[in-house]
Amino acid sequence: MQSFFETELTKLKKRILKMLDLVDIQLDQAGQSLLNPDFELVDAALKNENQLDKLDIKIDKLCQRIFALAQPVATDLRFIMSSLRIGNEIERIGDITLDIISRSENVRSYSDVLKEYKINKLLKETIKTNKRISEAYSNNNNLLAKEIFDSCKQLEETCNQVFNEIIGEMTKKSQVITIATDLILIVRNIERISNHMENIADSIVFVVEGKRLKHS
Amino acid sequence: MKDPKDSKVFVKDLSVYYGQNMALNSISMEIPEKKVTAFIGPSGCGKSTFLRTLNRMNDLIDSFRAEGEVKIDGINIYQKNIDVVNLRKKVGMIFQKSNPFAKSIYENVAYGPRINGIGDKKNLDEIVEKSLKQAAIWEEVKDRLQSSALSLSGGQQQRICIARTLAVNPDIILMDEPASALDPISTSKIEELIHDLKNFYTIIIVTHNMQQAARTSDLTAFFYLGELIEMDKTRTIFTNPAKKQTEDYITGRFG
Repeated sequence: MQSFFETELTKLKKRILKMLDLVDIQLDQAGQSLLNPDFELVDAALKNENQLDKLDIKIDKLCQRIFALAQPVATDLRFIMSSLRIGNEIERIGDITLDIISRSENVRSYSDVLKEYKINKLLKETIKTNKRISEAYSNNNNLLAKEIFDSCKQLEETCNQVFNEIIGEMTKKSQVITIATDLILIVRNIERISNHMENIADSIVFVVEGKRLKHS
Repeated sequence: MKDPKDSKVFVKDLSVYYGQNMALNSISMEIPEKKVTAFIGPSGCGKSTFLRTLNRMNDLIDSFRAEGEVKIDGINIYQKNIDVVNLRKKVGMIFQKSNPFAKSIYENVAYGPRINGIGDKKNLDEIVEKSLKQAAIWEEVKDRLQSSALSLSGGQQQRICIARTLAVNPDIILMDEPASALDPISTSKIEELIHDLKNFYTIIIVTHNMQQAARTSDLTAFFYLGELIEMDKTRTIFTNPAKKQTEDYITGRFG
């Protein structure tokens, strides 16, 4: 039988994994909405986002309770601190993904442009990364987390390149400014998602090794 | 290891036996001056035995035998010409159960200085007041110094014992579970006191209360089965200990 403390930790882990599952769906919805108009999908995404917000608050409360009642130390302390951070990062990813979905309407008809700048491909990268994050988090796999950390940095770099390409295009052709602005914001959003995922990977490494990759 | 002169207490390869039983196995440790060092570990791990070797309290046990070096201010306290009474004056001790003498509050604190030759009343008054103030109990007892110390609460009695220890002007204070018999309010008073006293004294505390070790100490040493498993800054021990045994113990997953 698990102790009170172990039960709370398991609950925390399940909630974070649930959030990651919801983000997985949300990112997929963003990909879909860039291709086809679908009102039901927007509705579903809003509900999803709502669930993410609620889980984030639940995780905050759960962590508060564990801190107050169990006074965790060492790996337990790092796990709880990281889960708290990860919950916030995932919640942000949910917000940003919703922003992509709401912007997709403006760019959907320019499928050639979307293809040219590989927007869907960039988004798919984040979906792949999200699945790897679930695996790394649930198994405390710091090596996988380090790989994720590096691949996120690469994706951010690619996003920045695409961003600059679009800006270049805008300076040449004033008639593309409207669509390009939306594209820029979508690419920036993908870059932000990747940055939040990088932070999550960093937090997973912190659980296992007690040190941060970022800013060190 | 640094030169023994740099540490207040310098222990090298200390092994302790009770008859045939080895209670401590080749402990080496340095304890810095004017810091709080906590010893933690499960019952029977040797932490109290180790604490008691630092003022030779174990000498009172017939079967006790120590090997190795224990230096305080560079002097080996187990060498033959050591005056144990003087040593215990320099290295005071507070026990789990408060043990005031069945005398007045004043006499409890004046007792040490008096047997050390201070007879002058004015001088004694000053020492008593200073010690009770340092032990954070002066305000509570200043109007009834002639009452019996036994009439005080457990938490107050423990602070009287601390004042009694301070009155002989020690360098080091050993505390063996000083707050384990006290309620949370008295415990927090003792913990605050420890925090204040470290400005003037080197404090070594044995505790089973993990949070107490975390709250009060600068350094923590984890003992297990007579061995020193790990010693580091308290903040490191409680956030990222190096040894798995330490981690298992402090997170309550031992055995």
